[in-house]
Amino acid sequence: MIMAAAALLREKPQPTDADIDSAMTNICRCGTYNRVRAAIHAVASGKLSDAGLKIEHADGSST
Amino acid sequence: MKTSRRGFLKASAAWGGGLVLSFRIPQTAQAADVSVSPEVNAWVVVRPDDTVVIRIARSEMGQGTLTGLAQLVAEELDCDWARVTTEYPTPGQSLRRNRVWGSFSTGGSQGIRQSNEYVRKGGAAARLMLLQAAASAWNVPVAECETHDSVITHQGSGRRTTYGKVADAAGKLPVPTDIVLKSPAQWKRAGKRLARLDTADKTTGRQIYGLDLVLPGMLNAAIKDCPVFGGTLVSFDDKAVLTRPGVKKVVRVGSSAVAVIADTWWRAKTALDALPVQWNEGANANASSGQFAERLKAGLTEEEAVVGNETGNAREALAKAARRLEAVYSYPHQNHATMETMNATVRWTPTLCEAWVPTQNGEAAFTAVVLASGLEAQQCELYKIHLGGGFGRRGATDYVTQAVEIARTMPGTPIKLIWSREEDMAHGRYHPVTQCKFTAGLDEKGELSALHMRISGQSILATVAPQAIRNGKDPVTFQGLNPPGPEASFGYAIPHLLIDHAVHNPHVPAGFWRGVNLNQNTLYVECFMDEVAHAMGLDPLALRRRLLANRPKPLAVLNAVAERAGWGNPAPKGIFRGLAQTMGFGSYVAACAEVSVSAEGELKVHRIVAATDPGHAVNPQQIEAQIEGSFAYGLSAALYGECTVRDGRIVQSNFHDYPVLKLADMPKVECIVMPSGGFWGGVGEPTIAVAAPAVLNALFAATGKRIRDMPLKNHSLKNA
Repeated sequence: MIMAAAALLREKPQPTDADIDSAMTNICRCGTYNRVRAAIHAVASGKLSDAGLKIEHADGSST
Repeated sequence: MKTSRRGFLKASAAWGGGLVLSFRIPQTAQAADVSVSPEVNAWVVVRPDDTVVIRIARSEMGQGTLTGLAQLVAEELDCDWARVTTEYPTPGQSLRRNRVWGSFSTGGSQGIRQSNEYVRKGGAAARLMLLQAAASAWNVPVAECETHDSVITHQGSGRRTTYGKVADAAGKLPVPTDIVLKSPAQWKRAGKRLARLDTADKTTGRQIYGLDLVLPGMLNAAIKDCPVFGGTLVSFDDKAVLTRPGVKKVVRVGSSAVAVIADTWWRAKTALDALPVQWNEGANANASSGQFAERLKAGLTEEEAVVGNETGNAREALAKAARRLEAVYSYPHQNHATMETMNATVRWTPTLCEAWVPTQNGEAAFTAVVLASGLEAQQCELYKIHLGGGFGRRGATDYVTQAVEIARTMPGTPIKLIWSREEDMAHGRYHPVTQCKFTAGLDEKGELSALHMRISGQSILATVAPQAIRNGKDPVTFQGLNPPGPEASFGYAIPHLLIDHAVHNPHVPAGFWRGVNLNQNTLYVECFMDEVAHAMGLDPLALRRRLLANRPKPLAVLNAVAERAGWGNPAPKGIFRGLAQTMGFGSYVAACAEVSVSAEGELKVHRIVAATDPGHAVNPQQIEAQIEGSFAYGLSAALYGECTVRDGRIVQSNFHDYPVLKLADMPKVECIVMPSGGFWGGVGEPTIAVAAPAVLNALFAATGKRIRDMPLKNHSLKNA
């Protein structure tokens, strides 16, 4: 799934939701789909905080 | 060059990442030299460089328990979180140390809720020992010393040292037993939205799963068990495949399976496909899902049933009711379909048997190794590896036993047994099949006065632990339906209530399937409550509020989702809402789904609002991940999940005929984590149970169609 996302971003650096829907056809049983979508958008925008997860990292930063 | 992720992982496992490829494969490279540093106590190792290694007995399978448990230990240890890593102790070590780490079992959403107290005590005890070691070295009273992020300071003199410098001395001190834990209000690490400890390794492919394991000189095995449950292996013609490149051996495994051992797994698998095999399919050779359904249907009205919950006299009240409502529901067999299929790697010699297993229950898997090895427990060891999904399937040990039996045929050679997806679909431990008949009675005033809920169908314990069935009753059947109490209780106040179970066990083995019986029981109850509300002319939220009036916790999660979703306000055009709530695995959960159905009958789930009250929340962002993931899993089940039986065997063989939800169909999920304190509930499973009924109730609002037989793929929503 990470490689599919990387390939998508290489082809389309600013993918739409529809682009993500059609490119990310990998199966995930644990249900990371929405975070994967958010992560792709965050990488595209260059602002990891755009993922909106409010995760606190050990170095004090947050995403 | 095109590289598959699996190939990439394999390559990095073999060549990169600094992994130590000895016969003891640590779970992470950081943990590689753990054994050289002495422990402070069973839970904590501090290396001279101040790295803190926290031991985790439960299994990590994506649910995040590794990070959550480490947070709880670190909270009391007061260590530098940036320098925390983890390792799994082994079941063999645990056995030798009188089970110092408690249970290894990781199921039933129990990782945090059942071990939080003793792991926190482990962290607190280690902190006291480190503090005492520093005070003794300085020759000052321990009360004058304090800790902060792995640094110990003497207040009077300002002297400082670190955990790493005193760990050796601390480990020689007696372990204190008089421990006072912090209250959750005092938490600094626990309760925080911390990043998972395993994200980096998983993102870079450095994380080793069972499938990725490579040992020097290792061979691979593929297996085929008799496709009909209960059948046996008669014979196979190994001459037909032994000349194929790479094939080493064809072996009988137990009474019902055959395995091919080869240099690569693909060669083993393709040789197995080409192997002529004769089975004795036994007594179940003609069994079918249709036959089960007939048996279960008969069970809906038969006299004999075990009672799970009874208040008043439901039969009498129903006989006197002014109006009666009836409905029959059904729920199919389902496969866990973990992304990583069952696998285990074993090396057996006449004096030592070692196994590397992605397992949800290290101790049960270890026991399986001992029993299959023919050796003493002291001659066996089991190393846990992260799981590529568990969902309950990896609590069973069938594949571990097989791997040991295969390894015994080639002493000294490590052999990795991998199930094909087809084998995984054919030999699961399936979600139990049940039907349910409701009879509700309304009195003269139109109030719900009586309810009889008859479940007919399969008992999980009949497969998994028949010794736990008492007087014919499998208590697990009644998840979410129990009398008022701290576990999986039925929330609604109904004057006359009878919930009973007519036990009918088909030959298909049942297992704990993420969410277990709470799934179908909640679906049945929550959909039927909507039917009752409709019949009474009441809003579904209003009926639930009325029946939950004296149950503040379920009422609170229900109200939270209703408020956030805007229940009572008009939804956007073409969008319809449905509600569900339940209590299970110690937690209270509710969901509101928003769906639309196109003129062509296509269902789209747009948005879910979901609330969980788990008592205490150790890592809210991971709880949100579990809630979100529960909809991926629960909606997969609701939309597509069905294993059918024809000629005694499972029909579905792979994801083409057992589809699961994809990213494009994943709804937006808004999570409300609302810990009310005072209890510890699980979060991995309860929300699964509200996914399907919330959607089904929204579907009814959208179409007027009441779907009572799962899954949805079998129904046309067109022209509704």
